[in-house]
Amino acid sequence: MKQPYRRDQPSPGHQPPATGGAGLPPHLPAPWTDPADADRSFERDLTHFPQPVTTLDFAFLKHTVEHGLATTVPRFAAPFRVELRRFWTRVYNHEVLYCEPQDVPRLWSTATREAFAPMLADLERQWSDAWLPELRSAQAFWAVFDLAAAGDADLAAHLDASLARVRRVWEIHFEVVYAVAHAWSMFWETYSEVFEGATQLDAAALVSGFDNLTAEAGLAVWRLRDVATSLPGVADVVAASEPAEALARLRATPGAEPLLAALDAYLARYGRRATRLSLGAKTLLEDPTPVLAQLRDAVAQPESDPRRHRERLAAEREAAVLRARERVARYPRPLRAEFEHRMRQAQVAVRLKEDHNFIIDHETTAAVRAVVVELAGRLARAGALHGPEDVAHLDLRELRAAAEALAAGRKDDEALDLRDRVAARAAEMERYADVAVPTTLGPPRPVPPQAARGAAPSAGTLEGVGMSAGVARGRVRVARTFDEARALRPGEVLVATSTSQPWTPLFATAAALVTEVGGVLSHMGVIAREYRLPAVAGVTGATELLEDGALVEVDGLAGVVRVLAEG
Amino acid sequence: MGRALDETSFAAPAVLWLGDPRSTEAGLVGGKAAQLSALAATHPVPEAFCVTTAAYAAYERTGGVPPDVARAAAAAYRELAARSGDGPARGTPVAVRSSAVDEDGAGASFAGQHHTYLNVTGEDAVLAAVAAVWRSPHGEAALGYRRDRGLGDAPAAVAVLVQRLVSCDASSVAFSVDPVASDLGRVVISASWGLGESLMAGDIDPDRWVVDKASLSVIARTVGAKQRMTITDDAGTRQVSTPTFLRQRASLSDEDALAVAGMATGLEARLGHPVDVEFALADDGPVLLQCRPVTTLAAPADASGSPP
Repeated sequence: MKQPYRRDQPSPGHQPPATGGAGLPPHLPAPWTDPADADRSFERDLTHFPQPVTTLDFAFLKHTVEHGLATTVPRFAAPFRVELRRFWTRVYNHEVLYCEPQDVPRLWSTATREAFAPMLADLERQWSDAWLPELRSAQAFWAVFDLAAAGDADLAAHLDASLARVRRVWEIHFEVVYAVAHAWSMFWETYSEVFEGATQLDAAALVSGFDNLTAEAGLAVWRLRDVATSLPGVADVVAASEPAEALARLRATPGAEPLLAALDAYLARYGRRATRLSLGAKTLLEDPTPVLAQLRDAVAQPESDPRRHRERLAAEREAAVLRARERVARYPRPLRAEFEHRMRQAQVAVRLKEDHNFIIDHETTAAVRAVVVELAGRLARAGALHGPEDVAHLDLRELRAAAEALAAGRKDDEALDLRDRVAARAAEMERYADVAVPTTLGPPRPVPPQAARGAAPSAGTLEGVGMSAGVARGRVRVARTFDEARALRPGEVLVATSTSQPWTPLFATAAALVTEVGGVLSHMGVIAREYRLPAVAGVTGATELLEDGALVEVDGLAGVVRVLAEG
Repeated sequence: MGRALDETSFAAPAVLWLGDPRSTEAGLVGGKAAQLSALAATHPVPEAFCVTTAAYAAYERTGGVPPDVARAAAAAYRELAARSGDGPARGTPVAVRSSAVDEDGAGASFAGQHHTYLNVTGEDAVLAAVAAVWRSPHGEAALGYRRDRGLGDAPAAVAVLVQRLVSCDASSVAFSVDPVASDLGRVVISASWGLGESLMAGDIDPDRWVVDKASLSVIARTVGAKQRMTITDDAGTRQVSTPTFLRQRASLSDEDALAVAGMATGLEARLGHPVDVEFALADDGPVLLQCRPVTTLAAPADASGSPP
């Protein structure tokens, strides 16, 4: 009998025909250091890293994401893992399969699902009794360490310990992500079989409207708005200030103290997040400008209040659950019980999808960033770097070596001779900043890349995947970065490569959302539905094909964007 | 036991309850109902009444359901609803099945030749189903079957069995002998999720058990694909694709299968011939829906070891 699964050895059946790197665009040099990469398939990771990444961020990704994914193979019989590459400063994924390509879905839904069965028996308990305590313990480890007071040797040791800790945190990350994916696919399997012809959006209605940290943080901005409008003259200051100057102006405004106190409380609770996943990105605590921009938008929309949606969404969910139960009641008891179980697990999964992201992707990245920033300051003072921000161009090995050299007082150690290397890497970032790079590289993958969907079928209409029902019209605002997204005005259609957590409050300002990547259970899908925001994902090239100011109509159920008038 | 179509049958009631002493007369209630009635005292059978062959005779004569038959059947249905605790307002769901005089006889089982209507609710719907059953023996399939068996073209007198619909998770058919291998020592069980229609239709791959009759132990067990299943709809039933979760699971526990096998074995011993028994698996175990003689056993002589 054919052995379908080889955990010890990647599938030789997945070796595509060698191309030797032929087909690279002429303006780009061959990017690989491993010659075998020339014959491998790569796809850009636009979901998580639409922008160039630095040497440090990429090293951190290898250390956390690639490691976390790799452990799912021996631990959970995952039929694949992903290797990361940094080509031309962009992140590319290379899938390593442990079976024949056509067996991936089957193994995923059998062997891997079985490995997750103990967790899926009670996802809530797995989170509250196992994952969350471990994450909180890691956070406590970072919280109690006094970075400023630590000697260089303690700081170097703390860096090592932090990197070890964060590796385990990212193992948990993929345990959660895979468990969440299984919980959803199991619910969807049964739902779609009982309700033939149903869409994933129909199924999502049964698991929407529960609290999660992302939604909570988004709604908290509207509570800040209530505080601001309750103080005479203060809302006017928020509305009239550039977000970057708003804090200083509020501090100089008599009577604004309650808002400043509320803002401090907001940042203490939700501020250990950045607008992109990067050790180089300032957290909201370090720079609250994004919060003040969102506050300004909220003040500008006195009649708007996304908190109202939540009650309606919960009521709609309960109504949908009751309707579903009427149909399921026709089936034998074992199916009725299993349907309830799978629905409950999917409801928990939707929450964990956001909460794990909040705590792991954001808060623990912020914790490691704090260690790196402290060390960067010392390296700059010691003259190893021009400035602290140059740490972004070191990899983790170089960073650790520098920390040790600093701790040992070896001023002439070559581990502290970093300026030239940093300059070369900074120049590379500069060189590729605006260079177009391919979405895929190498021979075609056996499974078409996700981004291959959503081709434009006719002039003026873009097709994607419906994420959140509703039809809305508005002018396009293309945002490739969070900074660009801050230009969004109420009533505009936000068009982005992808969105991450801190974009959430923009969902209350936008009339609709269009992204190039994402799925029904992606962060943006979950949150767009929470905000009742019409949303379409998987629109390939949306940020290129749609222009600022164009009038479009977004149909979030059909998954279609119609261009009504050019910008 | 005479034919019920002569003049004297006018004295016979239009409706008889299962368990009534007269409802063991096959000439009055048909073979299926008579058999169930005879077993009602000792076996779990659903509460039921029968619209008799006397009523059928009146139907044949007048070409429609006579008013007194309709009144009697409606009253019986209301009584069934009251006994089930469902009350007259909502009505109680029932199964309406043919019970012909020469069907389920020792020579021909007629299995599936006559219509069965499941999940019928309300007086009007029940009366319509009774009339539909009476029309059904004229159907081509039943006529062909009769010709093949040398039973002639004239339809037999048909009574109608109205059973409380058993709310069941699974359905099962047990043969007290292996009808294919002609093995008298084994009970063969087929089962699937939901109501029995998809199982009886024979076009799905059911779960199967082979049980040794003497030791009452499971010899073999196969989980079938059970591609489709029948569930209740607002009115009537609906065949749906079986959800994956249920396909992967046996529709009976071994305990259920052994209970079914035990009942089939006991019925065979009591009736003196191999039986083909249909069950609904309800909350508290198997409920007997019908019990027919096995008519297709290739060569009973095999069992004694003598040559055919």
